[in-house]
Amino acid sequence: MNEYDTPDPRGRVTEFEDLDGHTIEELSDYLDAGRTPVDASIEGSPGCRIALDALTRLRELTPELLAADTSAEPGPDDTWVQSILAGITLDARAGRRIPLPAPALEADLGITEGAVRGVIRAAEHTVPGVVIGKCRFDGDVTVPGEPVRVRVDVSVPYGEPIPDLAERLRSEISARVMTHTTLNVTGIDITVHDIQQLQNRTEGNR
Amino acid sequence: MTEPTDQAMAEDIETAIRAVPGVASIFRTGGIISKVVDAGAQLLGAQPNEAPLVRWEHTPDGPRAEAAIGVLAAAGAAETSRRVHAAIAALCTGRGCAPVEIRLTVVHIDDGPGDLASRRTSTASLVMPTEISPQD
Repeated sequence: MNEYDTPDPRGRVTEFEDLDGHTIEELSDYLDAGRTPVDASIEGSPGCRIALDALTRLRELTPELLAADTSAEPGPDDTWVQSILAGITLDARAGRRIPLPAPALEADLGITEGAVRGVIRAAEHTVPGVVIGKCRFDGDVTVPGEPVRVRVDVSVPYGEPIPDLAERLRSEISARVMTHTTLNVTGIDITVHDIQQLQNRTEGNR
Repeated sequence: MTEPTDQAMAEDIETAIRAVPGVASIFRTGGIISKVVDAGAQLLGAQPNEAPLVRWEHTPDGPRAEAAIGVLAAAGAAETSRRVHAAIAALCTGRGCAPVEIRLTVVHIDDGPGDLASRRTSTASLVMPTEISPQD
């Protein structure tokens, strides 16, 4: 048992644990500074790196999403951006350790749930305008062969057929999970919880 | 206490891991407490921890290596892990340390475009004035 064998007590996780002592605000400032000077404690933290990846993709939608969000919503606590940031923070933690096929008896190979969540979130790249808010696995990912369902909450751009977007996203997520794990994925559930109006958006401009 | 020879072995393993195609980075093994202590010490002016990122130790069952790695998305986590395992096993065999227990964990997948983009200076901050509440 070590740091990557932790259970997934999402209700007990603190932000401190998620990001190795850093806050999402610090990471945002670090991105503002172009990741210079290099902060070894941030770059050396898997959780921070996963969060930075997600923050970067989110910024690629800026300023159109921010403009729409801040003009339409009354207060910062309930804003769409805040909910996405909270999801990034939660998903960046290592979580459970998912076993990978071992080539020898004395080998113990695995991948963290956080790393897989990170690469699932990166599926946003292939479906322009879609933002993944939260990602979770239902099922015991620590036992090879156990059925697992992937559940993601997403925000989609206004004006595009949601079934098409969902199918493209599901296909991409499936391919990514199969590339990096041997999880027995029995389903990928996508819940659209938000529709965002992207200002001046054109296909492929991300 | 890590003996000098153990530290050299850990460094050699680290070098071997970095040479494996598909490996993007190596992260420090160890619990969050030690990481936070290291980060705090650096804030107080201490030099960055230069100890090997890889853990090499002797247990009653024999030598044991542990590493946490980041991989390139295109290389695949499972395939890269197998290659890293083979590289460490070959090194240990060459040093007469086999069999060795090898524990590898992929902790980050470098998806490429995002990481490249993140190195550009952004003009907008996404963080609102309010704090994200801890989840406890």
